Order: sequence, then C-alpha cells, then structure tokens
Amino acid sequence: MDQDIYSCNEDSYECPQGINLDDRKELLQKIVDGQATKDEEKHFYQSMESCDRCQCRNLCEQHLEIKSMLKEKLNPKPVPKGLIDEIKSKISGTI
Amino acid sequence: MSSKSDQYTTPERVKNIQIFDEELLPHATAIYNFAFRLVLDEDEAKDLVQETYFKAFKFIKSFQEGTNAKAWLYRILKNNFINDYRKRSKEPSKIDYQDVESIYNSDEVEETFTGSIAVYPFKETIGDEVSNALNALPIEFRIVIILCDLEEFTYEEMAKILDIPIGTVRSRLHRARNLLRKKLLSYAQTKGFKSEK
Repeated sequence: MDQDIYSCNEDSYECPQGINLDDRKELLQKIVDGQATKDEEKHFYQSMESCDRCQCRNLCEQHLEIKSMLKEKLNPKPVPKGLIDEIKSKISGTI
Repeated sequence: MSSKSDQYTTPERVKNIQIFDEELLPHATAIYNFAFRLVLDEDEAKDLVQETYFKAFKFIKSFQEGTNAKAWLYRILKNNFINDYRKRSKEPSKIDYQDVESIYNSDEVEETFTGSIAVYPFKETIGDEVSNALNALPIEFRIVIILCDLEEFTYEEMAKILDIPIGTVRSRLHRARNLLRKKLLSYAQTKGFKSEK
C-alpha cells in the first residue's frame, strides 16, 4: 500500500465521505484527467469540504499544474529525416 | 506506395500497404517521440520505431481498419520495448528504483501549501527540468505519464496498451505524479524556493 504524504491520504484515516485510500487516489487522478463522472466530482468536492485534514485540493492543483507543464514544456521531436522513406521502402520491397 | 516486383503485388498486399500508409504511418511522429521518451537516445528510438512498424505490417491482418491505430501501434512498441528491445539494448539511464521508493515512502513532513499558492513552486520550472524529472522516473511510471499527459490516451486505452486493469492505471498515475512532483519541488528548492513547514 502506498504511503502518502498527506494526512488524509493515510491508510488509517477515515474519510468523512467514506472513501477508502485507493479510491481517493484513483478519484483524484480521474479529477485531474477530466475523466470523472459528475457524481464522482460531486463526491470528491464534498469530501474536501467536509474534511478539515484534507489536502486533496492542493495535491489536485499540483497534479494539474504538472500535467499542464508536461504538455506545454516538452516539445515533440521531429521524425529523423529519411526514417519514413526507409520504412516504406523496406515494407514495399522485402517484408 | 508501389511494390517493386510482381511477386509483391497481390491485391491483398496492395490493400495492406494502403492501410499501412493511410492509417499507421501518419502516427510516425507520435510513435517516434514515445520511443525516444523510453530509450532516451535518437538512434535507438529510430531502431525501435522501425521494428514497431515492421511488426505492425507483419501482423496487419489483426488490425481492424477504422479502429484506434495509434493505440495499436503504441501497444506494439511498448511490447517491443519491454520484451525484446530492452533485453538486447543497454538500459535507459534512470535513477535507482530503490532510491525513488525510499524518497516516496519517507515519513518526512512535507510542504504545506495552501490554496492558490499550491502550484507556486512550479511556476519557474523550465523545460529541461521537466524533461529531466520525467526521464528520471522508473520506466513503468514514465510510461503512464507519457501516455496520459503527453499523448492524452484515456484510461481505457492505456489499460489496453499496457495490459493492466484500469484501476492499476490510475494508481500508477498517482504514484508517478507524486514522484514527479517531488522531483520538481526539489528543483524549485535548489532555485531558492522555501516551503512553509
């Protein structure tokens, strides 16, 4: 089981919304990736509001920032010259 | 694309080459970048891309036209990398997994950012630092970040590419992002950012 840095992500911690540790982590990622349902989002934000130890908001913001930095700051490399022609030539000739 | 000799110009082969050209080759840039992020070397990435495309052509009958060609290619490349390529090639540079785990599992009290300043430490992060932090992740964590954050695959697609359950995709992402976050925070601290304790 992962140990997390935040008090509300400790295994022994009882979430007011009754969400267990693994589910909290998975739900957090769904929120970050925009893949949560409306019900899940509601559940997540209610959990944050009702929990005085909850650090999920900060973690969520940081994960969102990292996600956006990756997209913004890692520029794709161009395919090396000749690679596609080399592949096409081998495909059409020998394979 | 035209074939070089009559022996290769069966209607089936022509059709396969057409599928290959129209559905698979357009993903070459994404495939090359995925390969590069895995092996961290341009020549090795090139080899991995070639092997991936050759394998894709060899098994093109198992590809259903109109389905997700990009995810199919990523899966082939990932399998190539894990099963074949990594064994006979030098390991990509990475930090020791045990070191990562010990940092990740430490009980050290962490930064207590609040509200909108939670992301402040990352504001001055430059591209090289992001790239180095990503490249330093153990491969299984690096892969989920690339697939999710750079290539924007859904969890379902990632689960298929990686042959793991969706729940594992999400929990692995959680660990990967926390590792990346720690690494980026440590860069921020070296540049003078001080966290509140």
